[in-house]
Amino acid sequence: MKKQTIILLFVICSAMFMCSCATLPKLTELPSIPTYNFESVVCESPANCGIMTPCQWVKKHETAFLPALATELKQQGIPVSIFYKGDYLTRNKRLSVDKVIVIRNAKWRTLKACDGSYTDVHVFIDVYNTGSSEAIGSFDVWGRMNGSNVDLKDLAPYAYKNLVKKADFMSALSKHSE
Amino acid sequence: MTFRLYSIIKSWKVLSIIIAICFTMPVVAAGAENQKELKKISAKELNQLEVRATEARKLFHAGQFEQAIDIYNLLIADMTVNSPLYLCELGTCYWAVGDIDKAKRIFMQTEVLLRGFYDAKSEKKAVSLWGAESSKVYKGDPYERSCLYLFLGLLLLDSGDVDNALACFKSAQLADSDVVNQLYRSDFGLLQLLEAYCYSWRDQDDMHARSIELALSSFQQTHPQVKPIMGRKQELLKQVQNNKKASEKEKKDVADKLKNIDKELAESISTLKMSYCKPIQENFNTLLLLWTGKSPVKQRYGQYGENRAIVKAPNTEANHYEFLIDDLVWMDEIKGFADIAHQATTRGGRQMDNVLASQAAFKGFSDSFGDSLIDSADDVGGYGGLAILAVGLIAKGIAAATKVEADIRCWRLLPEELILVPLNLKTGSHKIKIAHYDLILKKRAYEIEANISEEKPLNVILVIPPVVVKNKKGQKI
Repeated sequence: MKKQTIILLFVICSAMFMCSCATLPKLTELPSIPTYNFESVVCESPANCGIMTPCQWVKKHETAFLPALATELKQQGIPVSIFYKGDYLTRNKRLSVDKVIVIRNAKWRTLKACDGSYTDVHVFIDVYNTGSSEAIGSFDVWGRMNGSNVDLKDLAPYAYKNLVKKADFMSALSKHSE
Repeated sequence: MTFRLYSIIKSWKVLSIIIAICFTMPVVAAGAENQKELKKISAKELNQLEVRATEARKLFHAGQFEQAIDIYNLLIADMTVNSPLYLCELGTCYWAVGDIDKAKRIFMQTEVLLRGFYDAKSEKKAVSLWGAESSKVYKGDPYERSCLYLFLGLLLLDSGDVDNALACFKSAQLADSDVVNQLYRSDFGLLQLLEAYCYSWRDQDDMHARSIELALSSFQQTHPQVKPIMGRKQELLKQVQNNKKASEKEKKDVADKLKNIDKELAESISTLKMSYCKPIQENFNTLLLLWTGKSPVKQRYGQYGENRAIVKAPNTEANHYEFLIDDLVWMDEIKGFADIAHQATTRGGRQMDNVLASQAAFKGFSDSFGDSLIDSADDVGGYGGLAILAVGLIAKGIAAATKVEADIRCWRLLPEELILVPLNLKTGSHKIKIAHYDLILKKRAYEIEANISEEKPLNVILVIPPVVVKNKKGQKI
């Protein structure tokens, strides 16, 4: 009796799974993200940059979002410091940066298809001159990774790889940008 | 015999307690005159008082201190179980408007009530099954008592009473040491720093050096980089305390873990940049205290609200501050010496927790016992069923009448943290510009004026940032 019940349940579950697969779109039919340049843009005379976030959600995952951006920018030859929420700052340390990169918000979504899945991340970034409370530029960037069980630490670099391909963002990090 | 007595007195701990007791005596005497009879009021009336107090707290946070004072004065007209709490908050309001004398008098009165006032009836009622914990006289948690002594000590120091101020800072540390495993004993750096200041004023150089050392050690232990490790250590020690029947192997495992944590702690502390604390080791005659954030709050949890937790209020406005003195010199903030939220949230359990836990168990048992009798009454039927139903209803009634809610009254007019700026200013009037930052992002700036007197041992300047008024869209007006 028990065995029959288990088999019946298995059959029902398999049927449900197959039905759900059949109704899901294909990977190619899923919503796309914007396309970016093929190569990253070189920043002429890069300024000293500081990265921080005022967003509570990003703050909770700051070890995923902040170091990944620092790593990406350093690879592009831009000097970067990270400012974490618990840091005891000094005026000298604050003034050691010329530009402030603020991760204003970040969102992520999982898209499932019958032949796979994507996880997208959408990061919103503002750039400020040190000491100013008005942004010199606001940017948003998408990143996409295959799979659904994705760690944010692994996901964030996909957005940042696209971010350094944005000419307006890279020029905002230049010493000469106002 | 004489030698033994001498050696006991020589011990600095005993000496500190003697000094604390001796010097708080005049404080007690000053406040004793104001003691009134406790007025018995119903739970409904207590709730009404709390509603008014909430209104006063809102006014305080909106920067309308005078209006808040008016309400608090009405609330303390009669001596109720909540009066010590409202006095604490009234004292804060007076300090906020700069009425040092009244603030000092109110804090002295509160100190007497918190330490000396005992109402046997309300205490007995609170531990009984039928009385709520909040029906007993408010005594405050260790961090609240510490803050009372800190505030009183600062006001006494500002008024030139160094000896009584020293006693207050010592009492504050004694109040603060009521914790599990003594791990967080006296990690309130500002208290030790002010104690050191008093010692230097009394020309006790060795005691001054020792207190400075303690203050720096407290700074290290409560540093954001070290806090998580200290938290792990406290958690482990708590486990050891709760698991008294641990096997030898378990004990050895815990000892190894503790050893590793201590090693990690030492490594983390060694990387801290202590030059950050240099200004507090130099000469200063003025201490600017910047009020930041809101005090932590107590919340109930558990099936019947018998447990309570102290929760930090989120501070979203700013977390870095800079100070421009007389348009000449920029001074840095000093954090980590008076983190009141940290003090509040790292304290251990209370004796009352056990009382409430057993009351909650009784309430739960009576409730489920009543339920099962009511259910079975129907099956039995007849007079027997009616009798079972009656007993079941009585059990449910007893369960309903049992009050187990934890007391969540707390001193709401406290900052999350007091930021320190030690200054050495000349006598006279000075302009201080204060800039707020969210890390490196500028938020706002404003200016205050400070009058420095050379007659005061320490000029204490309390700055409560002006309230930012926002419209419905969240824009600054």
